[in-house]
Amino acid sequence: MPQLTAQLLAELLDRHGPALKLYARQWCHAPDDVVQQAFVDLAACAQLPANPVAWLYIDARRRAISAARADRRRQRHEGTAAVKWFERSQEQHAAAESVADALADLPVADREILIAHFWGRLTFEEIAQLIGISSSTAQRRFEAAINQLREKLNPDRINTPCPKIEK
Amino acid sequence: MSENREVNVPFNDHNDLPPDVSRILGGLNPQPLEVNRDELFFQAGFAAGRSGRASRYFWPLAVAAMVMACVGLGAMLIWQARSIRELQTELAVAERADAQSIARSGTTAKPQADGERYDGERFLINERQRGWQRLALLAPLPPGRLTALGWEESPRGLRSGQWEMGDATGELESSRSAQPETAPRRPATYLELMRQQREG
Repeated sequence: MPQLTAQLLAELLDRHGPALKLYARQWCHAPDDVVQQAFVDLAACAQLPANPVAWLYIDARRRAISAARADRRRQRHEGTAAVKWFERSQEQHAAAESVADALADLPVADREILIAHFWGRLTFEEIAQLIGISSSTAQRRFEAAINQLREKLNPDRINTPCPKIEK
Repeated sequence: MSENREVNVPFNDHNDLPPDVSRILGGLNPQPLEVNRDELFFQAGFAAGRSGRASRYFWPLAVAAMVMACVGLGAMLIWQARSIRELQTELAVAERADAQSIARSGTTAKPQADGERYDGERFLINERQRGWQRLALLAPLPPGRLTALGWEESPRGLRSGQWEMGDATGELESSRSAQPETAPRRPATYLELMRQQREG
């Protein structure tokens, strides 16, 4: 039976911690706590899941939604903290701000698919399991989210269609 | 899931996206996780140790069993103390009853009215007490003599072989034949002893 070692836990934390935080931020204002609790939950599993990364996303999503229900200040928080979603260097400051604003305008259902696939690098099958939809629906929503994002970021390139994504 | 995940790899290796979007999004990295790493590892280790034990319910079950055992033993102790107290009460009542009423109640199976003196104590005389009285009637006295302080047993070395080897009736007959007519008669049972003590 595979066990979760401290080395594996550190590796998962380094590789997927920031993306998980970004993913959990879609719902709650304390994503660090949610991600930390997700890792603790993973350690508490008697048997290591077959796909620990997808398991972490599922647990973080559940915990973030629960935290958002308890958080009465969520709406106010979303408006003020969107600019803190990404690391910002001097030259990336404007880009980060515009991308964060564009992401914040997306519907939550589309935004979580975009984040899980792009920064979390989950496959559409894993996203389908995560959200409870079919993989084709997840892919369709992702394409729609990308098109909306392009429209917001590059208004002059609206006519260029999004290429068909291969699974 | 892709296998080429690396630490701090820039998020721009998505070939399935339009190049302009991939370039913009790929240049942005999510904010790093701001957690206390030591605290996270401590909690993870604590959670792993707590859930990994096969005997997760051992100590709660052991404590529950111990509590049940303590309650059971305590109840037994209370019940035993109460039964001892009842027995002591019965024995005290039997001691205070005179030899006449003891003999009557011992020879007759059914309870009799013993007069006004013992009306208040008669409710305590049950079947078990009458069994004790029957035993007291039939029990032979050990070899010895009656003194002002009560029955004094003779030392083992002074006893005759006949007394030690014979049964109660044999001892009684031999003692009666050996004693002169004027000597006080040796009681054969506790009942006779009590009667003699009462008569002075």
